[in-house]
Amino acid sequence: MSAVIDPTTNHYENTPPEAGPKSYLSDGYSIWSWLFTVDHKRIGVLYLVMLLIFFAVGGFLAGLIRLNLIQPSGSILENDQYNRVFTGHGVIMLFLFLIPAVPGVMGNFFVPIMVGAKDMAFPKLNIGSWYVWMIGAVFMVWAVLAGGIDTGWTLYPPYSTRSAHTNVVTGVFGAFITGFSSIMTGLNILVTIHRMRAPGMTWGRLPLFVWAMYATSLIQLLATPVLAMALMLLMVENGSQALGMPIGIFDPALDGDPVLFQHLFWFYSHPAVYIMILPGMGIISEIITCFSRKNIFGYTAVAWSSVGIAIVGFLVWAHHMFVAGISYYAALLFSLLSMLVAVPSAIKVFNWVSTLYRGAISFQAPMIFALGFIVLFNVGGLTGLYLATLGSDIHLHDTYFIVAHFHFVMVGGMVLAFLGGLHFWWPKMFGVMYSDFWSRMAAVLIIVGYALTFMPQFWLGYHGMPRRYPNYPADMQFLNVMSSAGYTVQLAGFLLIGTYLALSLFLGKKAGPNPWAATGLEWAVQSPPTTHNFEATPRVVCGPYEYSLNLTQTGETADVR
Amino acid sequence: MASHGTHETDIHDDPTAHADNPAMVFAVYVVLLIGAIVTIAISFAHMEGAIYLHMLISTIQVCIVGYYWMHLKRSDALTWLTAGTAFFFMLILFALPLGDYLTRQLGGL
Amino acid sequence: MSASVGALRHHFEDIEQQRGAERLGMWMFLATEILFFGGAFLAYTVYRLMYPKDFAAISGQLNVLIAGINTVLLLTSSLTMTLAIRAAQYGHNGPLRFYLGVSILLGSAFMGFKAYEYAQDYHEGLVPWTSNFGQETLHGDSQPLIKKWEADGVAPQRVRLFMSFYFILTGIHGVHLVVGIGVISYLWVRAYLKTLTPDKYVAVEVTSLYWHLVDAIWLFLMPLLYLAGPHHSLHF
Repeated sequence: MSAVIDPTTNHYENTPPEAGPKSYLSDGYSIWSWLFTVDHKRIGVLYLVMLLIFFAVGGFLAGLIRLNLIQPSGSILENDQYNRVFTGHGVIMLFLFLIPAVPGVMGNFFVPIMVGAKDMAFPKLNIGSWYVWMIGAVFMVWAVLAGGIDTGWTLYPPYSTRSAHTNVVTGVFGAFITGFSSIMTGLNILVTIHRMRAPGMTWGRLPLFVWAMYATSLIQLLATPVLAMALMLLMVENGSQALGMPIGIFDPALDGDPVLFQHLFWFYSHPAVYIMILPGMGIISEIITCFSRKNIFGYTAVAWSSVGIAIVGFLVWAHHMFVAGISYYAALLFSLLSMLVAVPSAIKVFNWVSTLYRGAISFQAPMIFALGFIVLFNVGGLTGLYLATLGSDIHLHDTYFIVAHFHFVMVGGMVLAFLGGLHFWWPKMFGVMYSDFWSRMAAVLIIVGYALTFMPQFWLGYHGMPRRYPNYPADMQFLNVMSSAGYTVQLAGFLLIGTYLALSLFLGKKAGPNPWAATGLEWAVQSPPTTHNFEATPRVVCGPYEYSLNLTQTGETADVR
Repeated sequence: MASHGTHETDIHDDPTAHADNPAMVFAVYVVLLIGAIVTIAISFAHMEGAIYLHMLISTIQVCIVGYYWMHLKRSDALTWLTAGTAFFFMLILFALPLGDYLTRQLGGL
Repeated sequence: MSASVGALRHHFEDIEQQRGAERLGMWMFLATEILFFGGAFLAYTVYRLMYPKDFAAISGQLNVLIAGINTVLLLTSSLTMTLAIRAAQYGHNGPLRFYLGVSILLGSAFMGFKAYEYAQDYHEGLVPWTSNFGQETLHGDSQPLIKKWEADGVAPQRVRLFMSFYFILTGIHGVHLVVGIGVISYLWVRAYLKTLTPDKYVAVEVTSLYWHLVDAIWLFLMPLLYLAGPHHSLHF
C-alpha cells in the first residue's frame, strides 16, 4: 500500500501501489555499481551521504566552541586549541558542506529531470567531481583532525605563511582540490541547462530552482579559479618558508602585500556565499509555491534576481576588507556596491511573501522550514546592510555581530533551505515518506534552537565581544550561555531528523509519484525515478507552477498520486 | 525525434560541413609570427611605456587566434557570451583591486 | 562525406546537440583558466606597479632568445592543431596523425627548452629558494649579482618576488602544456588505432581550443616577464 498526503485534509490516504519499471536504486546493488555509477541520481546520493557525515563533524566542532564559551575564561579548551576548533568548524562547514550541498545533492539529482533530460551533459565528469571532492575532503579533514589549523578559515598571511605551525599547507591543498569539484559540477549544470532542455521547456518555463542553480553554477565556474590561484600562491610562500628561503608574496617584511591575498581570497569567497545561498533560494521558491497551491508572484523578477545576485555578488568583495588597509575610494565604492546586492535578494523576499498572500497554505515540514527561512534570511540580510555601511562596519567588524549575521543567512537561511529541500524531495529520491508529526516537530525545534543560539550574538557583537576570542567579559556570560543552550536544542532537532529520515528508509510508507500534488516535471516520473528518468522525451506544455490550473508541466492534472 | 534507446545511423551528419579554409589558417599563422617578431624587436628599442605596445600586440594576437583558429567567427551567441563573460570578470578582477592600489596614496582607513 | 554516428551518447538526442554541448563545455572550462591565470597576472601587475625599477632590472636577466624560440614553437603547434581538426573531419588519418604528432613534438620541444632555461637560471643564481641566489657572477660582470643589485639600488627581496612570479607563472603554464601534450598523445593513439573517426572530430576540436588558450596565455606571459626591462645580454 502506498501512502500519500492529501494537502486539503493533511491526512494519509491509502492508494494501491503502482507497478513500474526498476528504479535507479534497484538498478544494481553492489558497492561497485554505486562507486562506478554515472547516473546523476546515484551521484547525488553519494554526495548526500558524505555531506551528512561532514556536517556532523562540523557540528561537533561547533559544539566544542559553544561549550567552551559557557565560561568567561573558556571552559574546556586551551586558547591554542580553541583556534584550531573554530578554524576546523569554518573550513569544514563551508568547503565540505555549504558550498557542495545543494549543487551536489539536489542540483545533480534534479536539474536533469527538471529540464526533461535523461542525465547531465557529462555523466563521467559528474562522478569525477565526486571523487575529486572526496580527495580534497580527505586532505582537509586530515588537516583539521590531525593537529588542526589555527589561522581561522580565512587563512590570512603573513600569519598563515610565517608563524602558523599547523597543517596549513595540507588544509589549503585540500581546499584547492575541492575547488575543482565545484568547477566541474558548475560546468556540468550550465551545459545541461543550455543544451539539454526538452521540447517546450523554454527558459520562461524552467522551475526557479533551475534558474537558481544556473546562477550558482555561473559563480562556481568563474570565482573558484581565483581562489585556486590565491591558495596556490599561499602554498608556494609556505613552501619557501619550509625550505628556509622565504619569499614574501604576501609578507610585508619581504616587500609583499598581505592585502593582495585578501583581494584574491575574497574575490572568490564573497561570491562563494552566494554559491551557498542561491540554491537555497531556489528551493524556497519550489516549496512556497507547492504549499500555498499558487503560482509564484513575479516569476521573471525572481528568475532574473538570481542572475542579478550572481553578477553583482562579484563586485562587492572588499567589504570584508574595510579595515584591512584599502584606500578610502575603494572602500566607498565597495560600500555602495554592497548596498546594491541587497536589492535582488529583497526582490525575492517580496515575491515569496506575495506568493503566500491568499494562497491555500499547509504547514508540512518543508513549508515550516521555508517560512523559517524567509524570516531568518530576512534578518540576516538586513543586518548585512549595517555591515555594508562603512561607518558602522568599523565598529562591528570582527565582532559577534558578524558571526550572527553570517550564521543567520547560512544556518537560518541555507541550512533550513537544505533541510526543507531534503524533506520536500525525500519521497521522490527514496520512494518513502517520513513521519509527518516528527518532521514538523524537528523543524520547529531547529528554528527555536537556532534563534536561541544566534539572536543573542547580535547584542554581544554590538557591545564589543570580538569574534574568534576564547574568552569574554564576565557580564556577557548570560547571553553566551543562552547561545550555547540553543545549540543543544538544535542538536535535538538534528538528531530527530537523522532518526526519522533513517527509519523512513526501512519502515516508511511507500510514496507515489506525486505525494505533494506538485506541478514540476520531477513529480511526473515515478518515485524513485528510473535510471533514465523518462520513458520517452517529455513535451512541456506550460510553466512550472500552474497550481490554479492544476496542471503539471506535461499537461496532466496535478493530483496526489 | 529520435526514439529512446535506438540511434539509427544519421546519414545527414556531415563532419566536413564546417571545415577550415587552409589558406585562412596559414594567413593567421603568418600574422601571429609577425606580431611575435615585432614585440620582441620593440623590446630592444628601450622605450618608455613599451609595455602598452606589447600588451596591444598580444591582445590583437589573442583576438585573431580566438576569432579564426578557435572558430569564434562562426560560433553562436552563447559561445561569444561565454568568452565575453570570462573576460568581463577578469577585467573586474583587475580593475577593482588596481583601483585600490592606485588610490592608496590618497589615504586609507 | 557522411558518417555513421557512433559518437552519439545515449543521453543526447542527436549528434549536433552533443557536439554543441562538448564545445560549450570546453569554452566554459577555458573561462575558468582565464580567471585562474588572471589572478596570477593581477598579482604580478600589482608588484610590477609597486617595484618597476627592480622588476625591469631582473627581467633583463632572463633569456629572451629562448623565449622567442618558444613562442615560435608554440605558435606553430597551434597551427598544426588547427590543421589536425580539418584532417579529422575529412577522415584523412595520415595527415591527422602527422599534425597531432608534430604538435606533440613542438610542445615537447617547448618543454625541453624550458627545462634548459630553468637549469640555466639555477646556474646563474636566479632561483629564489636556493642557497646560491644572487651569489653567481654572470658572464661580463665583475661581481656577483647580489653586489650588482646593491650597487644599482635594486632590492634582493623584490628580485626574489619577480623570480617567484616567473617560476610560478611559467611553471603553471608548463603544467598546462604537459597536460595538453598528454591529451594530444591520447588522440594520436586513437588515430593510430583508427578509432578517431570523422564523426568524432569534435574531440580534436575541443583539444585544439584548449591548446590555443595555452598558446594565448603564453602570448601575454612572454612580454610581461621577458620584455620588462633592457636586455642584459643575449646568451644561449
